[in-house]
Amino acid sequence: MTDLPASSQRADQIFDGVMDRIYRRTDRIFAGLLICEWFFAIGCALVVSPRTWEGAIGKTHVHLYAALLLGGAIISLPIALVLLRPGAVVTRHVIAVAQMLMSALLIHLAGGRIETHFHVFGSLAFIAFYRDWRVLVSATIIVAADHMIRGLFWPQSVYGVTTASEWRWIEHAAWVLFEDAFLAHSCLRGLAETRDLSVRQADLERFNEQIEQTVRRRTAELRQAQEQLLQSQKLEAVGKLASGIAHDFNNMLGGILAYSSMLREDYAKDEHLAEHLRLIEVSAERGADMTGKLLAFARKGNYEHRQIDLAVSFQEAVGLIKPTLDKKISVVTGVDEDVWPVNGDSTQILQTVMNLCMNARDAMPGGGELRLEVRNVTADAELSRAEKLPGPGRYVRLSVTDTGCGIPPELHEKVFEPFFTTKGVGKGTGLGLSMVYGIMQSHGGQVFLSSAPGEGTAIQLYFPASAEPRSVQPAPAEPMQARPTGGARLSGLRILVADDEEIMRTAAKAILERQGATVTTAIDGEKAVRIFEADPSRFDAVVLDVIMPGMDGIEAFTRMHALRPKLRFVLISGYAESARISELRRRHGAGFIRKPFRSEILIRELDQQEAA
Amino acid sequence: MKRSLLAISIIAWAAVIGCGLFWLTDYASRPGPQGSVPRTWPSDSTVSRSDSSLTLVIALHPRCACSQASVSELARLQARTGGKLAIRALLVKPSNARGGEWERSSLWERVMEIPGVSASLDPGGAEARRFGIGTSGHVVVYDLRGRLAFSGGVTASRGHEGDNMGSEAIAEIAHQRRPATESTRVFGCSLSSGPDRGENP
Repeated sequence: MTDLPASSQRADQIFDGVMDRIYRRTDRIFAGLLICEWFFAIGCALVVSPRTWEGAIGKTHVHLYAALLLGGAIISLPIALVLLRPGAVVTRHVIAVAQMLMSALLIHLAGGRIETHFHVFGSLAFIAFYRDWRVLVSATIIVAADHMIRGLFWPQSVYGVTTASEWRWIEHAAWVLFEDAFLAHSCLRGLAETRDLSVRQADLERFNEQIEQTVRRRTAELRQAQEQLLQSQKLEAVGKLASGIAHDFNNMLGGILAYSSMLREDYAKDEHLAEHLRLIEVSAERGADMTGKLLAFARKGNYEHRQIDLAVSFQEAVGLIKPTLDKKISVVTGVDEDVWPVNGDSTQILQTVMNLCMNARDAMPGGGELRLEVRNVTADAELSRAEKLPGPGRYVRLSVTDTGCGIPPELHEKVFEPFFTTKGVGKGTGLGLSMVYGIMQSHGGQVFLSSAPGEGTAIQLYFPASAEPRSVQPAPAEPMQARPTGGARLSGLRILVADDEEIMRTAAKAILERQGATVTTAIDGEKAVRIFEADPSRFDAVVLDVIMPGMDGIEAFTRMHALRPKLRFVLISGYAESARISELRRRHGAGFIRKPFRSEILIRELDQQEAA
Repeated sequence: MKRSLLAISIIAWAAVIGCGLFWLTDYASRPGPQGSVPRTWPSDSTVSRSDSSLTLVIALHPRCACSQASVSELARLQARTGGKLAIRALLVKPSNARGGEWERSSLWERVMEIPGVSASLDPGGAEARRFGIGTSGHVVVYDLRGRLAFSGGVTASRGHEGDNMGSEAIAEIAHQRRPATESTRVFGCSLSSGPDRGENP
């Protein structure tokens, strides 16, 4: 009940409506009553005093004329007003006066019989139907005036004596006032009750309206949630499909990349052939980059859960993007002074910002303004609903706004689907925004797109602020220098390789054996563990694919590591480094490389492990 | 309806009704002709005078609607005085009245219902004229010695029941008290249409 004035106004409206209906209904009742009384007066005159006599000569009695004409005159105006101005104040006052005049006429026609005087008191009670005490005043004035005038000019006709006091009319009026007092009290009580009911009805209406509003809002939220769910399910399905293809494709690329890198080493002296092999490697790496994006969209990527400063990642991205932009594009940045920390992967965030900036750049071929902001936002329920956030709370909002060509509303949902692009053929893969979407989902955040054709595009990324206190950002690790390739760098090493993909397994075996290692392969985790457990001291290093049917690489690692804690382990995966892998690396010093990989990457990882 | 038109209508309506009520009240308060009433009981009257109580003679036009009120007041008066009045009602049949049962009316029946009333037909109104009565509802009261004690009507206005000076005076006389007045105005129909209305023969 916050909107009191509106409720009071509504209560007034209801009250006025109820009173208007009462006035109109009572007007109609009196119109009928007055007509009936008129007919009754005529009938009374016809029956009681139809004629007056002079000897044997009779003529129409004055009472008949009076009933017909005076009675007709009395009811004429009230009837007209009931028809023309029903419910008006003047109508009920004229009706009250007419009713009292009709009492006077009937009393006269009835020969002043005392019984007929009850008509006056009955009429007052009827008039109280209006619930308007002022109307009783009008009626009472007529009664009092009638007695006063008759008392002054024809005292005998009303008091029976010629010597009555000129104030005797007050006695008569007093009895009318006596009844008026009760009727007026009843009117006021009636008004108070009507007012009370009006207030209650207004409250009820407002309550109903609030319920309806809540139902409408909840229905809209439900519809929105359903749409979101459908969109999520759609993207999830596409993501599963994409990740499946990407995984298999990755393995194929792994074979191409591994063997081409080995061949390049073999034919290093043949420049022509080496160049061709290099191009094969580059193409395979581009393919791998694409599959990486697809996997990122499918949320199969890394989520480190490390506390990061978005402002730092943002500045890093701005530093990288600025030199690539046309001079016609002005860059405006805005960063809050104390940006709340968020949990996430700074590399992925950097990738996200870069993607968005590239899109913005492509949307402004003729130049424009690129606005980049990082702001702390405390989302209330309303903002949370409006921007489809997971819920109210603290967020860090990273905005990329351009003044480019904009996106039509009907494409707003589609732009996050993989391979959807509005750019020309060869200008975009259609994976940028889908990757952004996937990364934001894996960060527990949300992407909000606002765009209209010709008005530019604003993409806002909402990252949930970290609930933990700010921690010191660790300095980025210095990249390790890879040892020069060539020669038998792994000579004498006994290595167990487990990968369910034959191409990758064979390629790894070939790479390692070329470096002088003795390689034993297993087609899955269980077999690898079985081989390992048969003689744990048999191996100097183990290479495990993370994703394998049955026992996966992580479990196999755990089992083997329990037996040989100081053994060299290298985990390989088509997906980006997960939190679990990060933990294994941190706690047990395991190595990790991402498929597909060149031969030297695997060699270097094992080499580093050896050095460590 | 415009406000000015409404105001004019209300004023006109009030004026018409005011005039109508004035006309009606004025008509009701207009008395009938009062003839010369003999101070003593007319010797040539065939109406019997009571030796033991006041004798009240009332002449009535059998079809006069206004006289219904006079009869009602007469009934009240008789009840009020405890039957001390010997009432002689003369139902006057005008000389030019046509029809055998002309005088038989509700008024006749009502008069007959009053205790102590002796009603008789007065063809041509001869007896009424002996008492100097020309208007229906005119009452004359004579004492035990035949002297006129009261003359007038027993209604306050034409056909109007209720307190009136005539009834009050007669009641006082019946209780052997001095009345406030010995004569009142009479309201009712004329008993005859001729020039001899209310005149003593």
